[in-house]
Formats: sequence, C-alpha cells, structure tokens
Amino acid sequence: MLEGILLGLNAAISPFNILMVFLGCFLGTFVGMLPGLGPMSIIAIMIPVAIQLGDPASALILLAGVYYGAIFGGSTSSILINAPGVAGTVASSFDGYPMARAGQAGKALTIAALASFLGGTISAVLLMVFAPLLASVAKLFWSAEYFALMVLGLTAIAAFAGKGKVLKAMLMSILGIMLATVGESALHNAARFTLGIMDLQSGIYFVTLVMGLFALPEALFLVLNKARSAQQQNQNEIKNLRISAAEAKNLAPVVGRQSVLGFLVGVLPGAGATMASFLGYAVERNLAPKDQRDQFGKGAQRGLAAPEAANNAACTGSFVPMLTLGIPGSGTTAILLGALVALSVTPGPRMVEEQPEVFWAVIISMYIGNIVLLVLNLPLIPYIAKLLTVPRSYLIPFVMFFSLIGAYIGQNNPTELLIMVGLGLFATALRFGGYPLPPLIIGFILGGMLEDNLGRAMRKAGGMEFLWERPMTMAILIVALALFVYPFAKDRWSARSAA
Amino acid sequence: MTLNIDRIVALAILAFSVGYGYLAWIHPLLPFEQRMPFKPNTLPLGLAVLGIIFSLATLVFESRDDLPEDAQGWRAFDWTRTLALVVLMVAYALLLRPLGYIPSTIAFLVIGGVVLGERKLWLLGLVATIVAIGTWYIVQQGLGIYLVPLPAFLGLN
Repeated sequence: MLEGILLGLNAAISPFNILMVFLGCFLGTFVGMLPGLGPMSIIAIMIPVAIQLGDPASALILLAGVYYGAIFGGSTSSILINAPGVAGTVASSFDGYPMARAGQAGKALTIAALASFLGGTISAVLLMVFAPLLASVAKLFWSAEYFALMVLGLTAIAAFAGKGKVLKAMLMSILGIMLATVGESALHNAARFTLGIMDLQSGIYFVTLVMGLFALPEALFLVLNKARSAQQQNQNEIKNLRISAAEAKNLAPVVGRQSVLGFLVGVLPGAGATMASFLGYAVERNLAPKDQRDQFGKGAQRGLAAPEAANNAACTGSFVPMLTLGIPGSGTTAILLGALVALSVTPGPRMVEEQPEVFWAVIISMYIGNIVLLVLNLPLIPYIAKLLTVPRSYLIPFVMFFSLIGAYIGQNNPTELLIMVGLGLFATALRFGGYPLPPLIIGFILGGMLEDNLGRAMRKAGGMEFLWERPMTMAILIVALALFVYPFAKDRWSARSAA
Repeated sequence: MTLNIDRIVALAILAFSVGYGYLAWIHPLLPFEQRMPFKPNTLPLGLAVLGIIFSLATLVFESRDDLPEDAQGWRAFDWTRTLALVVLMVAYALLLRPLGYIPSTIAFLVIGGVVLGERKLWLLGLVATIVAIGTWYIVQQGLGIYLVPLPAFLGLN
C-alpha cells in the first residue's frame, strides 16, 4: 500500500495535476453556487476538457476537484441566499441561512468550509484503508457475479429513490440500459436500433446524453420557472469569518461522527451526499443537548456542521464502489465512471494492480483537493458570493452554450446538438412527471458492462444456469430482490401500524 | 384517473418499450448466432419485457393525480421564452457549420440574452464576442480540435 501511496503522491503532486486540482476546485465552487447547476451538470460540462487532457489521472483529478468544489459552492448559495445549488446541500440551509440572516454569514461559511475540509480529509483516510481491502475481495468475482452486482447497484439506486418513486426509478434504469444497447455492442459487431441513422452506429455519445439529461433541463427550468432564479437577487453581508475556541470544541465531535457516518452512507450505492446530509442532520439533532436541540432550524452551528461534514465525506465514500467494483454509487460518480471508460480506464478490482498510479493519484488528490478548497475558498468567499448576482439573461444562454459546445467538440458533428436538444426536452418532460434522472444515466453507463458480463456468464454456463449454480451470484441477486421489495414492505408495515 | 404528464410519460415509455421489443424481435441473426445461448437480441428482449411491466406498474401504482414539485404552477411558467430558446438551440445546431463557429456563437449568446430580457446590447455583444473568440482559441489551440471559425463563403478559414 505504501508503494501505491508514493506512486499516487508522485503523480498527484506534479505541477500540472496540482494546477488541475486548483482549477477544478475553483470552477466547481464558482459554478456550484449557481442555483440549479448541480455537480452532475458541471462535471458533464467539464468532461470534454478532461477527455482532451488524455492522461486519466489528470482528468479524474480535475473532475474530482470540480465535484468537491461544486458541493462546497452549493453550500455557499444555501447559506447566503437559501438557494441550494445541489440537493446534497439542502440540509445546510436549515441552519446556515438563519445564521446568515442573523448577521453571521461569515461565521456560517467558515464552519461550512472547515467541516467540509475535515469531513473530506477523514473520509479520504477511510477510503485509503477500505478501497484496496474491498478490491482484493472483489477479485474473487467472475462475470456472473459482476452481472449480479450491477443488478444490485441498479436495484439499490431505485430502492433509495424515495417514497413513491421506486418503480419510476427502476423504469428509468431500464430505459438507460435500453439506450446503451443502441449501436454496436462489444460482444456483437452488428449495429442495433440505429433506425438507419449513421450517426447512431457507434451508439449514443455519453456527453450528449449527460448534457441533454442534466445541464439543458436545468437551464430550461430556470427560464420556465422564474421564481427559481429570482432568489438570486437577495444578498447578505459576509462580516466576521472567525469561530471561537469554545465553538470549535462544541463542533469537533459532531464533525468527527458525521465524517465516519457520511463516508459509510456514501459507500452504499444510491445513497450519496443528499441522504448523508439529511441523516447527519437528524442524528445530530437527536444527540444535541436539550438547549442546543431547540436551536436546530433557527441557526444552530451543530445543525450546519453536521450536514456539511457528512455530505463531503459521502462524496469521498461514493468513490469506493466506483473505483473498486466499477459500480457508480450516484449519478455524479456514474458520470465520472463514463469519463474514465472514455479514457480507456476500466475501474474495478484490477485497477489497483493494473493502473495503480491512477487509483492512488485520485485518492491522494482528494487530500490535496480538500486543502486547496480551504485555502482557496476562505479568503475568496466574499468575492465568490458576488457571482450570485449574475443576471439570468447572461447565465442561462451561457449554460446552454457550454452544454451544446461540450457535445459538439467531442464528436465534431452538429447532429449531436439536435440529439441533445431532443434529449433535453425529453428529460424536461421526465422531470415534470416526477421521474428521477440519475437512475437513467447509471443504467446507461452500466448497460454496456451489464450486457458484456451477462453474455460471458451465459456463454460459459450454456444458458441461465449460472444464476443458481454459483452461490455468490445467487446471494447477491437475493439481496437485490430484498432491496427492491423493502420499500413496499416498509410502506405496508407503516400503513398497518398506523391502522 | 386523469391523463396528466406523469401518466403520459409512462404511456410514452410503454409505447417505446413495445417498439423497442419489436425491433429486437425482428433483429436479423446470423446462422451461427441462432444457436448461441446469448444472442444480440437476448438482453434487448428481456429489457423490452421489463420496460412494459414497469411502465404498466408505474401507471397503476405510482402515478399520482397531484403534480410533482417541478411541475407545480406550470400554467404560470414562461413557455414562450422557453420555446424561443429551444428554437434558438436548433438554429444554432443547423447554422454552426454554414455560418462558422464565431459568428453563430456570438449570435446565439446575444439573441439568447435578448430573449431573456437583456437590453444592454453593447455589453452583451462584447461579452459574447470575447467568449466566442476565447473558446474558439482554447478549443483550436489548446485542445487541437478544428472548428470552422468563419462562414465558408468568405474564404478566410
């Protein structure tokens, strides 16, 4: 492991990669503050640039920096204007915004920055220990188990989609896999479902799909629903940034607990930063002394530090299944996984052995990213906040432009733009219908790998026998089935208890 | 049960699954592929069945009469401007090559800003020009991807 750490350190601290961390954190923070633009949209916009870098380590370091920056940027807009840029920072607004309204915006931003830093750093240590451990276990897996694992990942994502959305999430995952089957598959040379359109011969371009599903609908929603972007006009004063020793002592155990809890939640496929931050907030509310518990929702410092530490730790945790199993735990890591595949890197248990410099460079860059975020953001907070006043007449066309051009430069084909606009309209309709979009992109990313592994397993076994002949495959599929049934059983149980 | 957007989407995916399943069913197989346990249409056929089952299940069990959060207040939404921006994006896609990257990008950003109510045209034009030329330079020089900068009829590219 030490050898790997040194290798990663060597790659991560090269001047170019340090520059990438800075650039990623800066851009992520900057854009993450804009309401409506979550990390998925920003990472999607940055993917063409990352792919052009050529070096997988540099590309992933840049994108990971953008991810962290976006989460922190989302916290800034949550605290200053009660407009969370991302779902994972909604819980930060519960107490962060009341603090800002009470004239403690600077202090709230400092708590958020420090809690995020510690949450990210503690979870990076946990990642360093657990990722290689999990990778060594995963080496026992064959294609049948990989297929089962992908089914488990997709089911888990649906199971955690929320009340009344499990079937919709499953439907979106299936739709995503269907879209992945367009064009030639790795196992068969003949093109499928192209409808005679030559541009679809090599399948739907990943960046076009991601931009169409996330960045475009966000921009369209900002135009459709003026109230969504009108909140930008309100501004707060930053004032004092310092926190006292007594306050730090009060917050330290909260940050420690939530860093570990957030990491563990992040490891679960489908849970991610949003669940971690809400869970962290709820746990700390229950653990807080009586006098502080009453302050939750009115500007409690613990209520801000808990979701901030938890969401950053969960971001790191979500890298564990992606790097070790090749299974993305969230929409954002699914996009990162797609970028890695585009760079000819196959994340999975063999990545630690076959491309240790990429694996360890990413982990080491997380430490560096957290330090950079702190160094970069604390002094820049007052200036960064000014971005919130950018008028929508500039913001929206620019978001649309960067989405369109991102898809165009990848393929150098204007048809991609038309496909993207079509996908954007479809995704807007899906959002109107309350259909979750992350399962669709996860299904799309996993679709190709799922078909390859299913094909190999069936050819080896001569049919579907592998499902019951391999105990580990069967066990994983039973867990997947249990996860799918769980939300329905829980609802039924709650209804019976209420009656 | 009313026909709202929730159910229209489920019905559209149901229709898509049926069409997808039909295309998978008629997918021409090579002679040797017909005897293989895993054919090019094995997974697609399974997906089509799952798509039909889950879209019907969504229609019956999960679609709601009340509107999801994103759709609430849809009657008051700014549909005209949104439609104008969609048309603008389609026009940008169609004119990007004939007009050239720089003029079409400047036009896209300026018209987009005007559609959204910006009236300081000189400032919008200046920012759009800087962004168009700046991104062209970065993409062309930095990333090595050729983008036709100006209209072909000028003969300057």
